[in-house]
Formats: sequence, C-alpha cells, structure tokens
Amino acid sequence: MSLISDARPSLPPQPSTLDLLRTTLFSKPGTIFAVAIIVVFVFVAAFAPFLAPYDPLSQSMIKINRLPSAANWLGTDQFGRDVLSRIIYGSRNSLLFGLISPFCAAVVGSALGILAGYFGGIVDRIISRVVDLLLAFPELLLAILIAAVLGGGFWNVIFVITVAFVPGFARVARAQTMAAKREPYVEAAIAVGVRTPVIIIRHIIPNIMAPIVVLAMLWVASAIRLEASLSFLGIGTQPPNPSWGNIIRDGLNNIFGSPWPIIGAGAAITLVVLAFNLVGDAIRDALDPSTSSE
Amino acid sequence: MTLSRRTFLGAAGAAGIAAGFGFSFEANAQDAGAITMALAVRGLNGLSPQQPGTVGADNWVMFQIYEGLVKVPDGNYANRPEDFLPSLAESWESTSDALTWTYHLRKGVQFHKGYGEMTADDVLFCYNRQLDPKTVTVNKLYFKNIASIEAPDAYTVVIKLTQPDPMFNGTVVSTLSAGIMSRKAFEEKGAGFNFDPIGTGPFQLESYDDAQGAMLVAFPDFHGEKAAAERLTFTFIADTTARTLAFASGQIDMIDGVRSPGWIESMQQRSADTKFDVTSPGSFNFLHLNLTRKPLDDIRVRQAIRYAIDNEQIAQAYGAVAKPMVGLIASQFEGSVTKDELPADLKYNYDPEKAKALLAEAGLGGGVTIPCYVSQREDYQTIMLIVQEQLRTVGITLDMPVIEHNTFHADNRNDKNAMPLNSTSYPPLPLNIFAQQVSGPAAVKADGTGGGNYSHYGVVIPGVDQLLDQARQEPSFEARTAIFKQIETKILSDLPCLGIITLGYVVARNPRVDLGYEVVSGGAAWALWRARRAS
Repeated sequence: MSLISDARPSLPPQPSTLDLLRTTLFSKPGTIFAVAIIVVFVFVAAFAPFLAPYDPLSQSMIKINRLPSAANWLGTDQFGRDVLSRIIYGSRNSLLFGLISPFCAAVVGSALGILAGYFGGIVDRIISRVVDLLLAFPELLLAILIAAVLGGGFWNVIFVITVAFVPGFARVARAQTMAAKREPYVEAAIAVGVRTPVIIIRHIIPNIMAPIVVLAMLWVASAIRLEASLSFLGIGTQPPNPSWGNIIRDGLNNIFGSPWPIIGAGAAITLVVLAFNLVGDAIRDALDPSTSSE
Repeated sequence: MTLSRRTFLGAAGAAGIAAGFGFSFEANAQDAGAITMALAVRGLNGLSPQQPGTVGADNWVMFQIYEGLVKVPDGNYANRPEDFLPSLAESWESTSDALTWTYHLRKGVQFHKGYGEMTADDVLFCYNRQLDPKTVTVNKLYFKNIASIEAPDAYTVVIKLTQPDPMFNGTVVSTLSAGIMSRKAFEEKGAGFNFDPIGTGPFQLESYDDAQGAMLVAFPDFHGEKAAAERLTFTFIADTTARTLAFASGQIDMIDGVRSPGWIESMQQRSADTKFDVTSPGSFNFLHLNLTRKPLDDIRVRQAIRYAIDNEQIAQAYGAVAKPMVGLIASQFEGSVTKDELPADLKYNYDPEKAKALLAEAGLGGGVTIPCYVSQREDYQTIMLIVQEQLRTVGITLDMPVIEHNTFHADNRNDKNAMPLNSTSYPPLPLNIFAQQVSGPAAVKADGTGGGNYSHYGVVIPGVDQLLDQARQEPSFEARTAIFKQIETKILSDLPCLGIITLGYVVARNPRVDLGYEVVSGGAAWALWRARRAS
C-alpha cells in the first residue's frame, strides 16, 4: 500500500522509470542498506574462487568440527571442510537460482498470461484452469512434488522453481493484458488491421511490464528461500556441492559437533532474503503504486 | 504471510542455536519398568525372521521376540563351537565328522499369545521354508548346506549336512533367520504375520504402527528367566538431531548412535556419563564395483579407485570405533589377510599419483564421471562423501544423489547402483561374508531375485565359487583359513569389492538403564531381556 498513487499525477513532468527507481531505492536508509547487502553478496558470488580461503570440497580428517578461529573464521564441519568457504561458494547456487528461476518463470508465465488474456475464450479457459490448478498448491509443495519425480541437480531445481512460480506470473499477466486490451490504442490498432503478434509485442507487453518486473523482483527472495528449502530437504543441490540449504541440512546432523554451519548459512539466507524483499518492495512502490504485494 | 516467511528461517536458526548448548539427563514421569529405544528409521519392513528386505531396525525388534535352538552369549559372538548356549534346545550333539547334528528341545516352551507349545513340528516348518526353493525367504544361502532335517519325536530334531561344518551353530542355528516362529500362527495369519509375529522370546509384540513404534511387553509365560523390564518400546526417529535431542531430554533411554565423525566426542563433552555400547569389529563397509558397468569393467579403473581411496583416513575420521580394512574380512577374524602377507602389487597403499596414471592408461586421463547413489544414513553418507572427495582428487567424479535408506537398499537389490556401499555386521564366519558379498549364486539381478553380490563377481569374473566350494568341503579349521586367505588374495587382484573400514555399531544409553551385560562384539542388535531401568 503506497501513497505515491495520489502524488504521481500531480508531478508536472513525468519522471523517467530510471529516475523513479533511483529516488525510491536511495531515499530510505533501509533500502540503501538492502541494496548494499545485495551488492556485497553478488560480489562474493561472482568472485567466490578469489574470496574463499579454502576449497569448499576439500576435506581434512585431522581438523573436524573446529570452532571459529583465525584460520577458519566460521570453523570447520564434520568433514573438516571450511564453513566460510562453503557458505561463500553456496552463495553462487543461491543467487543463480534466485535470479534465473524468476526470470524463466516471468517469461513463461507472462507468455501464458498474455495468450489467455488477449485471446480469451477456450484458450483462456484452458490456461486459466491449469494455472488455477497449480495455484491450489503451495509453491514449496509443488516444488517438492516435481523435484521428487525429477530428482535433484542444477537444471532440475531451476525447472522446479520456475514451474512453481509460473502461475503467479500468468495470473498477473492475464489480468493486465485484459485491461490493456480494452485501451483505445489497442482497439485502434485492431481496427486498422495491425497483425496480432505486432499488437502484443508493441502495445501489450510494454504496458504490462511494470507489475511483472515487480513480481519478479519480489520472487527473487522467494526463489532463494525455496532453493534453500529444497536443498535442506535433500532434493535440491546435491552434496558435496554446497548450497545454503544443504549446509544447514548437514549442520543439523552435526549440531552438537559444531553449530557454526547452521548459524552462518542461516544468517546468509536471512540477510539476502530480507534484502531482496526490501528492494522488491521499494521497486514496487516506484514502478507500480497500484499493486500490493502478490 | 510474507512476514512469516521472512522470519521463519531466522526462527529455525535460533532454535538450532539454542539446541547447541549443553544438556543434562532429566528424570521424567515414565514408569520405571519401561525402556524406550529410538531407531534411525521411519518404520519397520517386517517382523518375520524369514522376511526378505528386513534391516537392522527390524532385527532389533525381532531379537526380543524370537529365539533359535541355540544362542550366542549376550553381547558377543561365539568364536568357538563350545561358546554356544542352550536356548530352545536344552542340549545338542554332533557326530565327529560334523555332518549330523541332533538337538533336544526344551519341553513346555510356550509361544506368545496362547499359540501353544513349541515342538519339533514348528522347527521343521521354519527350516523347511528356508530349504524350499519356492518360498522367498531371507538368507537362504546359509541353509544351502542342509541335506535333510527330521524329527524322530516331538522334542528331537536331527539335521544332516552335505558338507562338514564344525560351526554349524554359528552359520545357521543361532542366526536370526533360523528363529523359530509358530507354525499355527504363521499359517493362520498369512501375510499378516509380518506385523503380528508369534515367537517364544522374552517379549511379545503388543502393537505396531509407524507413528507409535513397536510396543513390546514382557511375555508372562516365557520359559526362562522373565524379562527384567515390563515394557519395551521401539520408536522411529530417522532424523539425527531429533533423535539426539530426544535422548538428551531423557524421553528416550537408548538411541541408534550417529556414525558420523566426532559424534561420540561431542556427546561426551555435553554429558560425560552417557554410556556407549559399541560392537567390535561391528559392521563391515564394502564398496562394490559393478563389473557390468563402464568404466568399472576395466581392472585399471578399479585399481585406480583402490589406490585413490585412503582407508586409513576414513577410519581416522571416526576415531577409535573404526579400523581400516585390507580385504573383506575384518582383521580381528581368522581368515583375514594383513598387508605384510600380501605381494607388493596387492598392498594398495594409498597412492593418488598411481591412481591417476592407471586412469590415464585406461584412456580416462581427462577424468570420468560415475553415476551412483548413497543412503542418507549418516554412516553411509559420511563414508561415501569422503570417498567422493578422495576420488575427486584423482579425476573421478561420483554423481551421487543421497536417497532414503530403504529405497537405497531396494534399488540396490534391483541392480541399479554402479557403486553401492554396503554396511553389514558379520559373525566370525568368513564363508558367510564371501557367500553373501562376492559369490556367483548371490549375484544381484535386475528383477530383485538375486542376492547381495552387487558387483556380479563370480558371474562376470568366474573362479571364486570353486574356491568357496573347496572351503566348504574342508573339515579342518586351519586348512579352511588358508583357503579364505587365498580367496582374499584373489579378490584383491580382481577388485570387485573393496573393504573400506569396519565401524563399530554404537548405541548411546542413558546411564539409568542397566543392560545386564557388557557389549563386546556381535551383530548390530542385541537382546534386552536383562535390561532394567533404575527408578
């Protein structure tokens, strides 16, 4: 819920989207902080090989369950692996899943939603019923169902999270398309005989982009959380490859040996999810004052 | 909704941190005559001693319910023929050629729940089921040596063997698969017997379900000394942390130990008076290399794997409860080989460089990926994660999903795994170990009718079965042992199956429970009839 909706029409020269983003993102200290966290984590993920003090997979049986020290800032796990290095490498998985899955879901979901919204009739009915069916299941449950069938692995998890997110995008895209279709400029385009694909690409998509982008941003956090949950349940990233979820899973089995994998990975997930949610909220306020969360 | 999602993980983390602090045993209001043990499974597979697919958790319950004709000493194996103790048989004798064994049954032994007296008829029924090639039962191979079984009267059983076996009581009679079930009950209940078992043991099953566990009560008409505890409950807590916490809170008296590095030490740090019952050698961890899969069909690849896996390092991770293996027989048992006895090319001292060279020779210098899978149980997962890392350093990648324990075993039995790790407890009977793990007749089959030889050794590479037959016909213990060493050497040159470590089976016990004896050796389950809980 935002008050900007009242303010926007009164601004005489309409500011560009970029300006709006900039003012929103950097107006509140909380948002600046969140952006900073995301920047730091993206940096860490990008330069993991240079930042991680050790190989995240390399084991050492002579230094298992070490507590945090100068050599191992977050200690070691039950295989003598450096916890900090694993969390640093784990950020790659989490961020990749977090960015790729909502993007894929946005593309697929919007395409379905636009088809349903623009053409209506039987197409709309089929797509909407399938989407409703998928929406009936919580995302995590849906993801577990698919992951249980497909098994783990990078692309399988991407696929799983994408499928789990498609219904949301399809819903929003359909509603927006139906609204946009009734605009005079679309009716005009139809009247002068512009071909349907051109209408969709030139007139519909640009006009429904804002809420889709907002949704994608908000769901980056959800995707990171979902990947962590799947890995925690043992159907996401497979060991020995680290992801924040499976670091917690391994750590839980060894909680009496060393609690630091859980604390470290838990803190990382909390921070990143919080940061993406804050930024997502801010972008929503900037781009799409009319839409509340989900 | 959004808020709860955001805070959820934080809250979960906080709970975890809180759990990381020390604990002390608390008394709770349960009655003193009840003992509860939590097993690391989600449920049981069956409680018939002949049911295929039963695992350690099932054995724990069955150990309390069934008896054989003879038994081993509490908390140990019988290492010599004279170590066996009377159970359902009061006495027994064998001919000097060890071919004919006569058992004199105890009179007046009652089956649970009013199923009447145990007689030779029940014994014949159970053994004949194992001997009948048409019935599907577990450990049929153990019984292969039996030529005939007869009952001259209701309290005498005479068993004739094809080949001499001075340790027949150990090979067959004292094993759980030779536990005596009530014929009447088995025929009456059919498939239902599996979860409504009728034996003669000190405890009888009161109720079973996956959520509540298996509830046992002392059998009032037990033929021997009555069970010390009135009730015995086996619950199922597969999750390690939950199980450990339930134990720490004092709700559970005994738990399946966690066989991951550092666990015993971390438990002791938090509560120094926790008792640990540990078997030695415990379970044998074998890594089968499926000879029907590429690239494992190439001996150079198998040698590379052997050179790349450092058994000493894996044992070191576990500390005192583990020992590195050389062949397939634990060093504590007769028939095992030591590195000193072996020729230089079969010592396989850890040598990653040699492993890389062998892989290059096999045309896999650029690295190779082997798909396989492993059980989520801690010991399986820990050993295979270390193996995975050791193999990675020489260029072998194990693409290894972690799957649920029962599914893991079921899929292994259908020949789906290229490199299955197998953890099994064995008595000091090398013949059983070889027969189950590497003999031709025990080769795994895709339809699930095969045995536990997951490498297909003996079928793909013949020869071992001839040596095993030779051992079976050998009446002299010394000469048999020499043949066992020969088999060990042959296996080390063909490498169908690698001995990794022996790992003591660990049960953590609340000090308020007195087991009544000390656990020294034996299988991964033991009788609790003398266990009592101090009030």
